Amino acid sequence: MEILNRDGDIERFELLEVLSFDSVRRRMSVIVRSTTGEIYLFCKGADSSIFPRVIEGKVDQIRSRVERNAVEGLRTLCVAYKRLVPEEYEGVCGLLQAAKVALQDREKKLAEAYEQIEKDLILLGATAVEDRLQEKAADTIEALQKAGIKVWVLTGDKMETAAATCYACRLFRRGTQLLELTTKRIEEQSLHDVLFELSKTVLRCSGSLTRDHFSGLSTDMHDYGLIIDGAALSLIMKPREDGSSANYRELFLDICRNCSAVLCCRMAPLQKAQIVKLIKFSKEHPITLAIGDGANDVSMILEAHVGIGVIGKEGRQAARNSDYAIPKFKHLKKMLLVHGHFYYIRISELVQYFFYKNVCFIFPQFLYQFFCGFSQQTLYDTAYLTLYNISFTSLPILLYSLMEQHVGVDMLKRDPSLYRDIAKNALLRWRVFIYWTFLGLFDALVFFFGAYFMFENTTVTSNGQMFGNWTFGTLVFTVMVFTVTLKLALDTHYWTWINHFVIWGSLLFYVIFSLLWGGIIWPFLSYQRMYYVFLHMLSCGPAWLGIILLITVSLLPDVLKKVLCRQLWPTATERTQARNQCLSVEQPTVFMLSQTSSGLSF
Amino acid sequence: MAMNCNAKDEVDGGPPCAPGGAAKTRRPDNTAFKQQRLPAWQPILTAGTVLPTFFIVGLIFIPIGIGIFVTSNNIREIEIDYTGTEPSSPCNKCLSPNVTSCFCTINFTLEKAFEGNVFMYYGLSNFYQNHRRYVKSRDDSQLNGDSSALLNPSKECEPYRRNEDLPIAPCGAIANSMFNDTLELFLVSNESDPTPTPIPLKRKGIAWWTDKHVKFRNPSGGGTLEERFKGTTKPVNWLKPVYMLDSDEENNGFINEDFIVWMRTAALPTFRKLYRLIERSNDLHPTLPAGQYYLNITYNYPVHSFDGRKRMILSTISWMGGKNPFLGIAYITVGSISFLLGVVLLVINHKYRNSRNTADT
Repeated sequence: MEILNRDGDIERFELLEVLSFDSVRRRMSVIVRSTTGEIYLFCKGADSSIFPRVIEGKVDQIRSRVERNAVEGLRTLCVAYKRLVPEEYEGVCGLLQAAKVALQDREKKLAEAYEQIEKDLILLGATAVEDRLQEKAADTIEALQKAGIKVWVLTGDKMETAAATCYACRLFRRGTQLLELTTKRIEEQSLHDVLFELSKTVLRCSGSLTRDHFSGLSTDMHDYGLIIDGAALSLIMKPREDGSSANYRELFLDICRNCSAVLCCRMAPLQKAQIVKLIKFSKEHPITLAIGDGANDVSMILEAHVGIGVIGKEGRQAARNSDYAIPKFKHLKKMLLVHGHFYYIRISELVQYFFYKNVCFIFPQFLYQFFCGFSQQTLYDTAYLTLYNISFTSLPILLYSLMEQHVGVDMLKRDPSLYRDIAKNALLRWRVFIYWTFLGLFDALVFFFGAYFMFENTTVTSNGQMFGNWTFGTLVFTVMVFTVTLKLALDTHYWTWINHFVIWGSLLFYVIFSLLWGGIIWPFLSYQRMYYVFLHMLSCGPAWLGIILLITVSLLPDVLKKVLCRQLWPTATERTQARNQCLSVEQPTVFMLSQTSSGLSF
Repeated sequence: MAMNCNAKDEVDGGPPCAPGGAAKTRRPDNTAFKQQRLPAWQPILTAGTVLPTFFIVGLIFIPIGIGIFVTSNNIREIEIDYTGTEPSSPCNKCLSPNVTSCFCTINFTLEKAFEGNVFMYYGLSNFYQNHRRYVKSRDDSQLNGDSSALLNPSKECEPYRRNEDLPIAPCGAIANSMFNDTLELFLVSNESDPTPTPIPLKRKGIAWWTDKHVKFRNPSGGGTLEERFKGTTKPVNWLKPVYMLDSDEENNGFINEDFIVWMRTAALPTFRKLYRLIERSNDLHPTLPAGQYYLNITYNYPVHSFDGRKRMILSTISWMGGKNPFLGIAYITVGSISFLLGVVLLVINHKYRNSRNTADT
C-alpha cells in the first residue's frame, strides 16, 4: 500500500498481517514492511485498551487531550506502534499461524496470540473524529419522547462522548438531573448502596405522581437522566449466590422507569442485547424497538420486538438483520408516528370488525334453533352462507384497512402526543373487544326478533299470501348485510372514491346477486327453494319498512355511543379531528415541502 | 439517497441488475394512490351532524308508526280453534283414531261485519315445518314436471320415496303431511229463512303466481293427468292420489294450489296458511255481515298426537298485510326514542358549549 506522507512523498509499505478488530479487545493492528525492509506493528484502538500497553510516549499529554476531545463530543482513537526485528517477526508469524489453523478454540487461541503480540507499544498520538449527528436527529428524539416513547441510548463510546452527544440530540435537556451508575461510583460505594441511593432520589420526587410509565414531563417536574456503563451493568446482571441479583435488577428497572432518558455507554454488543432483554421481560412487558446502523447493533436489533437498521456508511450489516431498514434516522419519526399509527388503527378495526360481522352472521342462526326444534336448520340459503364472508362483506373492510386515515398525515407529524391514544394496545384490549361483541349480539337480536315479530302468525303481503322460512331468512340476511356494511361506513373517516366504490358496490352486488340467484330456475341446482323469494319479499311494503326500521335500530346505539363519547370524553385524536374540520379542508402545502425534501415518502 | 446497483443487491438480495449498471430504482411511484394522498371526504360524527338526523328520524318514524298502527287496528280478524281437546268442543269426537272421516260443526259469531276481501286461513301450532330433515325432504325437479325425476325421485325424499316398489309422486315428508281438512262456512241469516247460506269460497289465487306457473308443473305428455302419472303411487298418508285433488284440470296434480301452499314450508312452528278467498260482493252489503256462522269441518288431519293445535282464521287484509301491531308500535317507539335522544344530545351539547365558552378565557 502507498501512503502520502507529510513531505508530499509517497511511502510504500507491504502489508504482512492484519490482526483484525474485535469488540472485546477494542483494537486492531497491522504488521507492515517498509521499503527499507523494517517491520513495524501499528495498532489503533480505544484509549482504554491502548494506554495500558504503552511503555513510551507522551502519555499524560495525550491522555488529557483525549479527555478534552471526548467532552467536546468527538470520537477518539489512540494510535501506537512498535518495531519488530526479524526474529520477533518469525515468532509472531508462528504464533498467528498456529492460532489460525487450530481446530479447537480458535477464537480463544487467536485472542491469546493477539494479547501476546500487542504489547510494549510506543504511543504515537490520538485521533478525533467528529461524528456529526444526522440531520433532524434531535427533532426525532424529541417527537418520540412527546409520543410517550421512552428513548434509551446504548453506545460503545466513552461516557463523556456519549453524554455530549445526548445533550446535542436533546435527549438530556438543560434541566435534566443526571444520575450516574458508573464504575467510578461503584468503586467508591458498593453497588447496593449506589442503587439504593439512586432509587431514593428518583422515587422521592415522583412518588406523588401517578405511576404511569409513559407519563409526559411537565416542565416543573424534576427531570432525571440515568447514565450507566457496561461494567456496572455486568455487575448488576451477574448472578449471585445469595439471590440478590434479582433485587438489583428490580431496583435498576425501578430507577429506569422514573427517568426520562437512559444512556448506557461502553456497551459491548452483547450487553446491548442484554439490556433489551431485561426491559422486554420486565413487569409491564413493554414493546421494544431497537434502531442501529452498525454491526455492533445487530444483536440488539435481533433481540428487540422491532428491529430497525439504518442503512448507513458503516455498511449494511444492521439493515440486513433488521425487520425494517430506513435510510436515515429522521425517517423513524414518520415511520412510527404516521405509518405505525395508521397501521395500528387499521389492524385493530379489521380484527374487531371481523369478529363483529361474524357474530352478527351466526347468532341469528343460533337463535333460530330455538324455533326449529334444534334440528340445525339453517336460516339462510347455502349460497348466502358461502358468499357472506367472501363476496358481500370482504371488500369494504379490506379497502378500509388499506386506506383509512383517521387523522391527516401532517397532523400526526405535527402533534406526536396523538400517539399516546393508541399506547399499550388500547384498541385491542378486552374492554373494546367486549363492546364490539355485545354490539354484534345486540344487532343479531334486533335482526332476528325484528323479523320474528313481523312474521309471527300473520301475513305481510297485500294479497294475503304467506311467506315461508326462506323468505324469513332472506329478510334477516338482507338487514344484516346492510347493517354491517353501513356500520363500516360510519366508522370510515377517509372516504376516497375507492371506499365509495367498494361499499356501495358491495351492497349493489348483494342485491344483484340475490335477484339473479332467485331469478330463474337454475338447471344445475337440485333445489329451487330460493326461486323468486327475494323479489317477492321486496314486493311487499312492510318488508321495506321492516328493513329500514331494523337497520336504524341496529346502528342507533353505536352512533349514540360515538357521539356521546366524543362530546363528553373526547380523546386527543378526536379533538384534532374536530379542529381539522374547523380549518379549511385543503392541506397546507408548506408543511409537506418542509418535511420531505425529496419526493420520496413511503 | 442514491442507490446504485450493488447497494440494492446487498440490501435485498434481489434480482441482479441490468448490465452496465443502469440503476433500476425501487423507489415507489409518486402517485396519489401509492403515497396515500388520494382526495378524500373526511366526515366526523359530531353532535352537530348527528342531532338533525335524530330529529328527522323521530319526525319521520312517528307518523309512519301511527299510520301503520291505525291501519293494523282497523283490520278485522277472528280465530277459531277447532282441535277439539276440550270435552265440550264439538270436534272432541274426532280425536279417537278409529273414526276415519269425522264431521263436526263449530258455531261462532261475528260482532262486526268484515268489509272488502276476506281471507280464510288454517293455522297450526307446534308443527315444525322448519325442521331440517323435513325441509329437505322434497324433490323440486319432480315437482317441476321433470319426467325422469317423476319415476326416480331424489334420495332426499327418503323414507317417503318409494312405496310398494313404486315411486311416490309427490315424494317427501312435506308432501306426505299435506293438510287435508275441509272447511266450509255458512251464514245463519237473521231473516225468516233458518237454513244457513253457504259462503262462496274461492280456491284459486292462494298460491304465489310464480309458484303455480313456473316452479310447479305437471308432467308433460298427452292424455289425462292419470295417464301422465302412470307408474307412480300416492303418498302414504294421502287419501286420494295427486291427480284427483280437484276436478278442475287447472288446479289438479302438482299445480293444485292447496298443495303448492302447503309445500312452501313455514318459518315458525306456529303458522297459518291461506286456505280460501272470500271475494267482496259487488253490491253494498259487507262480505261477511255480523251475525251467527257455522264452520263445517271434515276432520281428517290428526294433530293431537304431538300436542298440535288447529284453528281457522278469518281476516281482512290491508296494504300492510294482516293484523300485526308490532311494526306500528316499533316505529312509534324508535321514533320517540330517537327524538328523545335528540333532545338529550341538544341539552348536553348546549351545556358543553356553554362550559367550554366559559372555560376558554
